[in-house]
Amino acid sequence: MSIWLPLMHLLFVPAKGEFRSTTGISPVAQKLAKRHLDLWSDPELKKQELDQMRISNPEWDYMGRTFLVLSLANMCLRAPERKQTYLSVMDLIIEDTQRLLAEEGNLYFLMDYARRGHFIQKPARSIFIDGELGLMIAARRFVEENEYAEPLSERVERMIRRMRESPVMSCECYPDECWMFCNTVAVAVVKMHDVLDGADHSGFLQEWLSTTRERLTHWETGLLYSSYTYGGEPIDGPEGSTIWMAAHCLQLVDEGFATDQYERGHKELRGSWLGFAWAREWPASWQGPPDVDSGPIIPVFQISAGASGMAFLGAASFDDDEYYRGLTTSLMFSGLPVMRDERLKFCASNQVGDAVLLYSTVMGPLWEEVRKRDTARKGT
Amino acid sequence: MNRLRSIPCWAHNTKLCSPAGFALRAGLLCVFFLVVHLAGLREYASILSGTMPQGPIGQTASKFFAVSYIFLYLAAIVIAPILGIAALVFFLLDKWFVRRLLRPSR
Repeated sequence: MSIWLPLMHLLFVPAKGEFRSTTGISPVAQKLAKRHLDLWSDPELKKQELDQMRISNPEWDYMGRTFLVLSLANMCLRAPERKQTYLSVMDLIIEDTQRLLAEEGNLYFLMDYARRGHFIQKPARSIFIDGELGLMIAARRFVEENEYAEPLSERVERMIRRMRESPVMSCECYPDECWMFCNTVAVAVVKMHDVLDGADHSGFLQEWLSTTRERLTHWETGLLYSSYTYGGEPIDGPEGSTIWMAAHCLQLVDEGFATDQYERGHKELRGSWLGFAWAREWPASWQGPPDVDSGPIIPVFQISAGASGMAFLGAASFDDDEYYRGLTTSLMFSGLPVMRDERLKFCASNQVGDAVLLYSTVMGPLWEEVRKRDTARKGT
Repeated sequence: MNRLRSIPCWAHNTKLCSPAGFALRAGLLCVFFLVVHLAGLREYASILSGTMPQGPIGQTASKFFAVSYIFLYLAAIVIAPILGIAALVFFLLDKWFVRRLLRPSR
């Protein structure tokens, strides 16, 4: 046992550049993307795959779309020769999502309990829906401009108005339930809109940052709360399934604050042993019950499937190669990959999990483009 | 009581606690895993992410397949190599050290 266990990770550790590459699209990203592109070119396959996920959680259908659009935007910037192929799928996803929201309403992508309560802010809207659709549209426009400029401006102005009305500058995702994940997505969209359309909401963003730091930070860890009431009372403490994405989005708004949140998350939530790495859902100072976000939790090590999946985003965003390598080693061991016809999927995962992973393998150029244009804009 | 006492003896007599016994167990775990793998049970592991696998099979059967696959996968990846290494070490000890120690000195 003392011989094999320290060696076991060598069976699973990926080669350098297999998952993430500084230029172009890595081999794993290409194989993962092929499977997702198949889904969106075959309606029957798409229906089958998304319906499967919707049984457990309709949010995953929506988030899977967001992460795939973000991935494709980065892939367009990494491989401009394939831009038109990727753009057509991005448009297909955005149009299909808008159509479903128009036909079925915002609740279509929310879990059932959204129907059982009443949103405090009127008219009722979910920042989960508004923010992620805004993010998809903004990402599309960074690759190539189209007719989405006006819808994005309308959406952003409405989000800002509603966030300003809120006691803690956060909007509800579910009745009397605000999520940091969704509100950081919203502020990233505001920043992207400013850069795209020459608007200036820097005052709003500063106000949001100072309110969030003061009112929505767990004092023992310095990490942001995951969920809270409309009035700002914490519901869930810091969570791995939230903080990595929140830190990633905050990179566009305040790089220093984002790095601080990542480092604190790394200190409180990262786990590693014998070459494998993972993330815990909660820090030692806050425990909560496992839920649909945390996924199954492996006792003793406190490994959370949800937090570990999202940790790929954190590690990739902050160029934490050592952590990313440990996470990919764990993934190759426990994710049960299957390769068929140059298409890769992880059997222990689902479409949204694989889309998050795909995003982590290609992310970088889109955020870089936002920063570059922002710097150029300020220069002039 | 007598039956309980006889278990280690039985194990020893049938040479399960021997290099060959360890190697046999390691091989069996690998064969069992290979069977469920070739039968396509890996697809059912999507239950781990809270997603029901495709196909006409019911939830209970799907869970059973998923648990069986994961159990045998871990057995083949974690336990079988340990047994294999143990068999090798046991064999070497048996072959060299024990015989050398027991060899009558001249």
